[in-house]
Amino acid sequence: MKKITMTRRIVQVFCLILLVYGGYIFKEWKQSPETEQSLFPALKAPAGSISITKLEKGSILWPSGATPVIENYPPSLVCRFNPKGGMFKACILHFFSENLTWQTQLKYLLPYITLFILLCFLLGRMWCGWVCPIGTTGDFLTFLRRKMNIPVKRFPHNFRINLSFTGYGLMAIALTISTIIGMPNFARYQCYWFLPYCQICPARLICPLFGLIRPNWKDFSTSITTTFTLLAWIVLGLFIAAFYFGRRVWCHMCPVGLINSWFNKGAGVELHKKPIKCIKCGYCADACPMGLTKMYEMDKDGIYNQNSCIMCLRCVEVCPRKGCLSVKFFGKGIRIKDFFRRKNAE
Amino acid sequence: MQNKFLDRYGRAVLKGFTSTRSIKSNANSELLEYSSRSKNSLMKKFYQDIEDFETGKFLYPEKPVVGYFCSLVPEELILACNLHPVRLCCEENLWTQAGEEIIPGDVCPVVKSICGKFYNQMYDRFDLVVVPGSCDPKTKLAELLSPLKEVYFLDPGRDCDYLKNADIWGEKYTKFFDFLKERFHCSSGRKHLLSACKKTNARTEIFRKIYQFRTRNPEAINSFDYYIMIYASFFMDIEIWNNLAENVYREALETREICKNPKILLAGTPVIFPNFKIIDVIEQAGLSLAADIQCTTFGRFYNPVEIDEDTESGIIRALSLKDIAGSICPCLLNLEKLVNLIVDAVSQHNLDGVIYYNLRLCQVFDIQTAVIRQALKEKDIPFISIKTDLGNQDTGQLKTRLEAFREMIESRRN
Amino acid sequence: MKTFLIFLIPILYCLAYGADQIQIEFEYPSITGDFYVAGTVFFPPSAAPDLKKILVMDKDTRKEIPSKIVVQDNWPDGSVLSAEIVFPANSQKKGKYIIFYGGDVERKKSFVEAAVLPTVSFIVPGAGNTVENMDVSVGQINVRVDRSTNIRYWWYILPVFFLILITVLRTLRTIRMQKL
Repeated sequence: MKKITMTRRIVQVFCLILLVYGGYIFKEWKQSPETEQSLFPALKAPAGSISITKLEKGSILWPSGATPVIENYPPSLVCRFNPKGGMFKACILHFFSENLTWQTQLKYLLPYITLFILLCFLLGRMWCGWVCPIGTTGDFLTFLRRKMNIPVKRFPHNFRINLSFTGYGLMAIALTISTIIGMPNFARYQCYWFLPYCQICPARLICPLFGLIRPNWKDFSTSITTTFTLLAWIVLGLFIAAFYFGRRVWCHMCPVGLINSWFNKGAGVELHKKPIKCIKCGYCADACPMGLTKMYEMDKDGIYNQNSCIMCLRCVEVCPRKGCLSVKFFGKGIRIKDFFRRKNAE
Repeated sequence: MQNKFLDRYGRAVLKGFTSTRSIKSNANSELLEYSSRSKNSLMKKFYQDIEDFETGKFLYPEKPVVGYFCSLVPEELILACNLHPVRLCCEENLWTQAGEEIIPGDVCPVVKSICGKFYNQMYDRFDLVVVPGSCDPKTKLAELLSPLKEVYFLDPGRDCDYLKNADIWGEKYTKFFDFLKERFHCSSGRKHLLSACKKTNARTEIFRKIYQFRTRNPEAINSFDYYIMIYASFFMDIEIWNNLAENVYREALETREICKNPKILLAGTPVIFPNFKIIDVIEQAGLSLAADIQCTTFGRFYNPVEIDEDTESGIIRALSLKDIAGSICPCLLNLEKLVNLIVDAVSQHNLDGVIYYNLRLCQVFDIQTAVIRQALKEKDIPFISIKTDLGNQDTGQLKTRLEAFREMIESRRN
Repeated sequence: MKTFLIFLIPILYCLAYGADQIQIEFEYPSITGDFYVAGTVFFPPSAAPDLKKILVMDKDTRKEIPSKIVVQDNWPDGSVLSAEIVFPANSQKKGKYIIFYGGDVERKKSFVEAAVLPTVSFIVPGAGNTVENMDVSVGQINVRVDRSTNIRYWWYILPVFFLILITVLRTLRTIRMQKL
């Protein structure tokens, strides 16, 4: 395995441990009354709101973790259903849907949004490739497939575009429902429609497994929960198939990744290409887990950041020509090739 | 799997052409001359092996031997089936004259000399010959050789765009691999492919070191030694070659000399033993051949196999990318890439000029000349194109032209 | 588009049909044996079309409990506004009970008061968000005590705008660079 990929794997495993089991490490940090006065206010559901009073153990949305220790929302996916984690609270989609339902004032949300935008601005969608626990799980599935000698399924370009539309559609539906059930007249729907995307998100079923906790994988009490349960199963099946037969196909429709992707072209992490050095071997496009081809096609000097790029830097790594593809941070070379000098580099 | 059209057209007609005339190659005398110029003591083994190979005394390993042409044929697939791959190429005047009996007329001299060698039982040890459809003469060569040997025709197509053709290449290479497995009754798979790729990647690594070293210091391993090493890699066992080349590189590192001659880049037709006329002339004219962009050297060795998907089909796909998409073969649609490579190599290694070597009767190299000349003129890089054949008649004239070229470079320097 | 529809259709189905649940809270009396639990529940408009669409369920076993439901008032569209619900319980097995109602709920078990037993009344916490009990349910009023000043939060708007502006400018630059 090459150096960048090796570093990425180590970072992924480290982040998985930190984000999933981080709560164990920081268990002493109890939430104190001063949190209200700290940098980030703790976001709480309004007292007595249905979404909270009706949530009991056994409900789909019951968070398996303890109370959040550091209330924070990283740009990558960290789940409400982490086993006793609670180091970080949830993903950005959870953040938006929850607070739309609670109708939290904008001023309380501003610190979180600032942090989110800052991180995304600096690193772009690097979260997806390097941090996201779901992506790590998927990469493990891909690893299994490779070991079993099953060839990768390469999806056509149009299919991947449609997947991102699906992701935007899901996001729009989720946020609309969250807004509607936040209105007083529709508050009685909160017990079923609270966090609609979370209920079908594969992370809800996968994240508890890391802590050897049985996820609440079925709830057939009413037709709504039945539908959500079935949808969650379908989505989980799609998720596993997407990662097992393709590579990062799922990441094209992950709403969290889509929100991150808005910052990709303006991000601090820039991927540069010098076409004069390119020998058009296609290694980069072939190795891209998202199936992007911009780095292969581009024939002008410049940045080839793409919205769907998860910045795994695999293209930079496999490029056989030194200086053709490179990573820069705000235009300054981080000389990643020198740090991770490959054996047969020039 | 076997190309049936050969039976219909080629075989019956060409049967009577097997020549029995014995031809004495003058390779030995040339080898002696080149080895006397070598500054590296470890090169002797290479010279010895080439002498054995040219006289038919070379001891092949106890495996089936598969001959192939061009960089477009994946050597790793042959290695993975536990076969001994031998890359065939021949540019020798004597054999060309022998081949004239079979294909007279204005035909590619390489094809002529290969035919000459084959029809004089030089390659009897071979079990299979793989011919790619890279250029038109090579395609016809498949038909010419089919009466003598079993021929596998591998057509990669002329378009080397990754996006359009990657799947097609993968299919073609997979078929070739299946054919090899069936023909030689071996069950190779992922592990064998991986170990074969490991060997060739080790070779790439050593070649890159030598290539980079020669760009700075072309005299420590002189051009003759360099091309002899390349030629030895055609038929030697890959691991033995790796060891020897590594040792040669280590020895060269110690005896470092400063190169004062103008450094030039040689592009165009591959230089194959024993046709070292062009290198000889370059050296006599006081130029140092510091880098080259040719299909036998740079095109064949420079890119490692980058295995992304380490499944069987994934490795085969990676091989197809390395051999076809990354190819600098003039038969494919990659002229822009070649121009870029030359311009980049000149600026990267601080070279003084470019010599474009063009073997007479090879049209694809000839056509490219004008475009490369224009591109280098825009970049203000000294350029000379040399068009010659396999004979030795024009040596004096070439020397005069190259000396003028050197003077031009030196006047630019001052 | 097809993939999008695959997700859209079940969600639309969900919107068309549905059921809601109300949790029941009561204190177990000190007596042993069977007793009745009774109480009045308010329903939202057109949520429970008729009596058959309301049932009582044991929350743990997910089994329907036989119940007697009497309509007290109706909404103008004929659906149930308020109903009195009586069902039997036992102090030995301390079950938890919920009331289900909605379009796809079908009550199968009904019950007749055969014996005279003590009756415990239940309450519905937080829910039953009808017009009637809207003003009594404190839970619906979002109360938040925040002693800190507004400027402590609103200054974040500056970096947010600044970062978005730079991102947009850099994105435009990248797009211009990538244009062929």
